[in-house]
Amino acid sequence: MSEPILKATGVTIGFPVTRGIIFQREVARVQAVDGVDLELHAGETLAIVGESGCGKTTLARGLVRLQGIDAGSIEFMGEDITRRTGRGLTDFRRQVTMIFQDPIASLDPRMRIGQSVQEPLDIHSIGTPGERKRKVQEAMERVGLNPEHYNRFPHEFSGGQRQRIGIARAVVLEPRVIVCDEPVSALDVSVQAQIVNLLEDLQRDLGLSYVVIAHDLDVVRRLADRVKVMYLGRVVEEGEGEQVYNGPRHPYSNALLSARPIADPKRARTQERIVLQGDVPSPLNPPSGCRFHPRCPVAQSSCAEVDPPLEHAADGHGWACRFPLRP
Amino acid sequence: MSTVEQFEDMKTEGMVVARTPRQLAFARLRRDYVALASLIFIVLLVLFALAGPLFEAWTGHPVNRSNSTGVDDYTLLPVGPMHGCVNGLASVGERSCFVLGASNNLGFDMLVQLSFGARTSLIIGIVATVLTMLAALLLGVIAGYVGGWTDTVIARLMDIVAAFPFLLFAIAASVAFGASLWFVILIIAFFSWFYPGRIFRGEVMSLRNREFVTAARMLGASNSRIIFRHLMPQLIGPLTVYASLSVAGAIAAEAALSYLGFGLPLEIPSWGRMISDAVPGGLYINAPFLMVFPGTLLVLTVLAFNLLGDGLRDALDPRGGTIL
Repeated sequence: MSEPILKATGVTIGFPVTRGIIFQREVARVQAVDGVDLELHAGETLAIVGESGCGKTTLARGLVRLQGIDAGSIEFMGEDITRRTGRGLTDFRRQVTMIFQDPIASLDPRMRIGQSVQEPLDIHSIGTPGERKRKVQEAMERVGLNPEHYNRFPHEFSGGQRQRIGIARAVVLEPRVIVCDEPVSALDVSVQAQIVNLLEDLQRDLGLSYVVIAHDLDVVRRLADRVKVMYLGRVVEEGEGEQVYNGPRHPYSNALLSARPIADPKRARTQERIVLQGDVPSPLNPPSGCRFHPRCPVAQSSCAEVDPPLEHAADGHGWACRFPLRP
Repeated sequence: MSTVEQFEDMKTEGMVVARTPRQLAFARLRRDYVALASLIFIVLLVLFALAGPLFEAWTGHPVNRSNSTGVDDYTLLPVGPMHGCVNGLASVGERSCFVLGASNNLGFDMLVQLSFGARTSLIIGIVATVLTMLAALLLGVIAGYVGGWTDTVIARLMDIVAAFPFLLFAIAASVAFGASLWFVILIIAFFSWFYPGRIFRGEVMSLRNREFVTAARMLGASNSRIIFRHLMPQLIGPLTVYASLSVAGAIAAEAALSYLGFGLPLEIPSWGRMISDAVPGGLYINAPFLMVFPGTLLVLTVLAFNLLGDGLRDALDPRGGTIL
């Protein structure tokens, strides 16, 4: 396989817990992301799924250098960009961009949407003012917005249209990689499908690579070539989309998949739903051994002692469990 | 495109024209009669202040020359027809005319003094406010945006300035440095920047973590771009409101200082000093208008700027209702 376009190795991100008002001192560190490896190849879509608080958004922010990382490295097209600053970081920002979850919050309420979409071109000084305007209108057209709405404000648009504005802003630079943080979870179900289609069309037309962060497994199934399942800051299972969806090996992935709503009530009645006991443990004080063992339906006593590494089968499907489910 | 979005398009294209936040604010302000009346009063006051030289020429009383002919010595009110306009007083052809009487027993003209006093008040109110807002923006935005130690230092500085007793310090400084127009402006600005500064700091702290700022950073925007393009425009609302309130505060502070005799030098007319001039010898008992005229103007001016500030706050409030 070719060289990955974006590669993360052993990424660890923690947040300090401080005490004191004037003289703050660090009393503990929350490990939001703990040693995650990731490879994204050109033109593919990698999905990261998991429940709230598992560190998927933090990982996404770390990948695009919005969040400092404590350990590990991030490479973009073979170059280490972990410690880049200034000009180098700006160049990276031109090629790797992001779509945010809440389309209204991610647009400046006082900027006309044309200005918002044009801003990346201004920042990277691309083209003359006339060319910029043309590029903006092209991008707006590409994402299904009326270019004549250039002079409107974000509050004049519907949720789906706002997300299209966010996407236009991301693609106007013609980037290589777009990190989508929950791109559709703030939208109505009817609009979600349109946005998913749009993302697919853009990928085909512009040769984009996506990292999609999501908790909606059906959206992920549509979009993703490969899937990583995260639990408490770690990857517990990874593989091709169908490998994970049809034959989850980790009990957590299995529980997550069984929690999906099913549209057919007849099938829903017969479907076995695995309800996990308790809440996600605090990442401040993760459980010993396998981090999933206190909630795991198949855990054995030794799971509290041994931390299982992520092991891969010959077909690339990997899981971090000592007692994996049978495929 | 789905039918839903087509409908949305239809709505925005044909029948409904959405208004910008600014248009909405103006619409709300137009409905606020109190704020509107305040605005009209302020405009009239500015015209009154600008008319100073006209009053000088009309009455024949330069602002700093005494001339008590035509005024009743007891009440200091004008005597005779035409409010005591007399010809050929000091030299042949010169005309002297009191409309509102004399402003003190030296025979300064009340109307001229009031007009030039308005000029002083407005200059001090506006210049002190500009300085206040510049300092508040600079320090507030830096503290809110940078955070950490910088924020701690600036925030404590604000607390310290807030804890200073204004009048005591101003009187002491006035004795030490000697009073002048700039001294009064600077001392007022020095004691007012911390309040809007805190507001801006808080605003920026909450805006800094908003997603649109993150999005701008994600796109590669520099700090200065984020501050000037994304943060500052959000501060226009509070800036307008606190500027209006600050003008009122500065005018009141100058009047207080001048009343106490630690404000402006004698050659600059001031409402505060006009009031204090009425005190010695119980002058105001015979001639209450010595206090009533400058006092009323002062109260109305401060009130107008305060009410305008309140009106602007309501008009610019993003939670305010829509007006058709």
